[in-house]
Amino acid sequence: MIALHDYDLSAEGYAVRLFLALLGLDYRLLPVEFYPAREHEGEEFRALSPMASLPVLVDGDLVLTEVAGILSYLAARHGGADWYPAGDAAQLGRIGDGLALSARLAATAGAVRLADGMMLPLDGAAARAEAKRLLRVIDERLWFGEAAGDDWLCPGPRPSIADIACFPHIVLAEEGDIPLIDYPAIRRWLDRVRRLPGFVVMPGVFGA
Amino acid sequence: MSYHPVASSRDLAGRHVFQACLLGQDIALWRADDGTVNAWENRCPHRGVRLSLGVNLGDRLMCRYHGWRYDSGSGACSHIPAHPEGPIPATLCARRFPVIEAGGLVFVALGDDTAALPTLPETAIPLRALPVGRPAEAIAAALAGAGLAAAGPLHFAETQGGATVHLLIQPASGTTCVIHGLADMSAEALPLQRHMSRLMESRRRAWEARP
Amino acid sequence: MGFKMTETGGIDPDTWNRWHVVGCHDELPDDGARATRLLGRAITVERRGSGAEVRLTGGGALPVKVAYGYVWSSLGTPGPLFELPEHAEADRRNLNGCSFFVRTSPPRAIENFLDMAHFPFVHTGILGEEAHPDVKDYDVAISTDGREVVASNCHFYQPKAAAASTGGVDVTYRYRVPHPWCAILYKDSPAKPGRSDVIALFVQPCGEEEIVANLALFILDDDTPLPALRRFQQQIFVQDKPILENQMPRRLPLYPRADSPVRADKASIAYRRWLRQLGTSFGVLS
Ligand code: FES
Ligand SMILES: [Fe+2]
Repeated sequence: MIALHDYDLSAEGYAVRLFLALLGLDYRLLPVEFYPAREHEGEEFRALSPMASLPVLVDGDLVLTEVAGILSYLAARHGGADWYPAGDAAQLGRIGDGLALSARLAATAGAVRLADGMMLPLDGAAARAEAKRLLRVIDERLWFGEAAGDDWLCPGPRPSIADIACFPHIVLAEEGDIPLIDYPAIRRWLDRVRRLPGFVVMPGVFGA
Repeated sequence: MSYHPVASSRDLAGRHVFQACLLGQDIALWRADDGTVNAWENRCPHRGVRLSLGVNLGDRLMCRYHGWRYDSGSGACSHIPAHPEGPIPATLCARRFPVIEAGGLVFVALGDDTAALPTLPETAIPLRALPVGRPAEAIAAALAGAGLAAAGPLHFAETQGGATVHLLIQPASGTTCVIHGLADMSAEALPLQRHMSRLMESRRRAWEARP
Repeated sequence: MGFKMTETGGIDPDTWNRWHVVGCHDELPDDGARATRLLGRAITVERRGSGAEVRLTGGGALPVKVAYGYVWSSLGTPGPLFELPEHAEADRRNLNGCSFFVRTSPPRAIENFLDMAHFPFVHTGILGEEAHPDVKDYDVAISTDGREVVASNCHFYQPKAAAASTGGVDVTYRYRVPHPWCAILYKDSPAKPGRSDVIALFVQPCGEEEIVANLALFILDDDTPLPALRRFQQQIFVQDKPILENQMPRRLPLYPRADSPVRADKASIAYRRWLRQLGTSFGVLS
């Protein structure tokens, strides 16, 4: 069975838990205390993942330590054509772009959320400014997607793992004092993700 | 208090709650399944939680904190889960603002004295609205300075891509505004919408770069 | 008494002269001081063995007390801290459940802690469920000496009342509010029937709209590992965070007809009346 080493309040971990739920996959959750114990930096955890970051997915011999890798693996292995458009090079490229975008969100909106709530050191102003720039770009993309009849970050009738990877950082951005009022297309997209069959919440996120 | 644009009709998607800010007043805007547009103070009368956090149930809005429900149209509270047997005080009501849809935009007035709407083209197509981190007056001055024709203190017009484009400024907080656009055209709008989005983005970068 | 509000930067005398929590003693750094804020002032908190030192940043030392696992300080001349005798009971485990920074006023956090009606909607499946939303009548009073608010006989159906719970139960709660920014909950212990787990919310008033919420546990549970206990409290508290940060205005309105309370809000009504009696002006709108 898939094992997920994770922390409940991790937005990255939530992306993986959400995708596992959307795929209807069973998994074993192994809680790791990021705050305050910083268990992920302990020797025991480093033996599993030298990255010392969360989440970590273990499936047999395979150990994956980045959201992009974990979601890509789960989509290719369990998602079928709905989640992994194997023959569509352009779409795979766009999904890769979207996954990289989620990493930028993690480093800005995600980081400032954690630093704020858990009182960790960070240049909050710089992180918020860059997050705002990213949100503006995403809002424009989603607005024109809607105008063309597309509901998701990448064109086409179905959500992709890019949506799943970006969703947690955006839906939780207000916890880091990044208001979403200026991104109406993003706020509608958050509602659409919430309505996906199998959607699950995490603390701080409300359902549909 | 006159009407100001706060959203486009398209912004009020089904079962969505739109959040707007007009002259410092936070507003929750939502469309009921029967088409009724509600513009309410973005604050639950019970304990003040923003209603834009809530759930659009189609005919009622449910607050996230204690699940109180408010009816579309009247704003009256019609369900308090903690006391399912009632009674609910008749005065318990979301605070409503006058709201009208016209020309593809949604206009809200904060008071009851609802002066006339700006004159709008019949066949207008809404553009993507652009929030700007500068006060409405500063943006009005910048647009006037750029040579746009003023049709009102917060209403400008210019010609772009062969169409007349109206720019209507929504004073949001004291330090921010939102520019709503309407293109007077009936043809395929997407190319002009794209052109205007990029043009306004580049204007915004310039405005926000200035101290 | 000759108390001048100008000498306190406009802070009311009750707030000025109280002990306020400024950190969990165990979680202070091993080396050096931690910078934080108290009533709008920058301060540093440093562990000194079993004691602590608190200073205004770039200024003098402030009064210090270590009690119930936390460091307390004051900008004025504090009297005794409230009593929490359960802290000394030998069979209890005492721990900091979690500490989170929240953008709200101290009294909004206390009011949320006293509120049962939100359990089905905010803590769905844990402290409440939508099929059982009703709040039965309970008792509430300000103690005769005026020193605390007490709510008792509070009953609520909870699907998973504590980290050690195995199923849904009708729990009985009792609340004490012995300090404007501290509230204590007595809750049926799932492990030891007839006794109560004690969960306290100690709010550090960083500013009028900025707090650190500390959840302190004094519980009768020898089995659940510490991380699992903390995990449960973190999950619960972080569910409340977006509610607290979206309550407008952030300061608690004390003026008449500011909000629309119902019977379930008796505790909050008494709490607001008590704050008016104390003359509290910090973090509220009068
Ligand atoms: S604050 Fe909205 S229902 Fe209580
Ligand atoms: Fe709560």
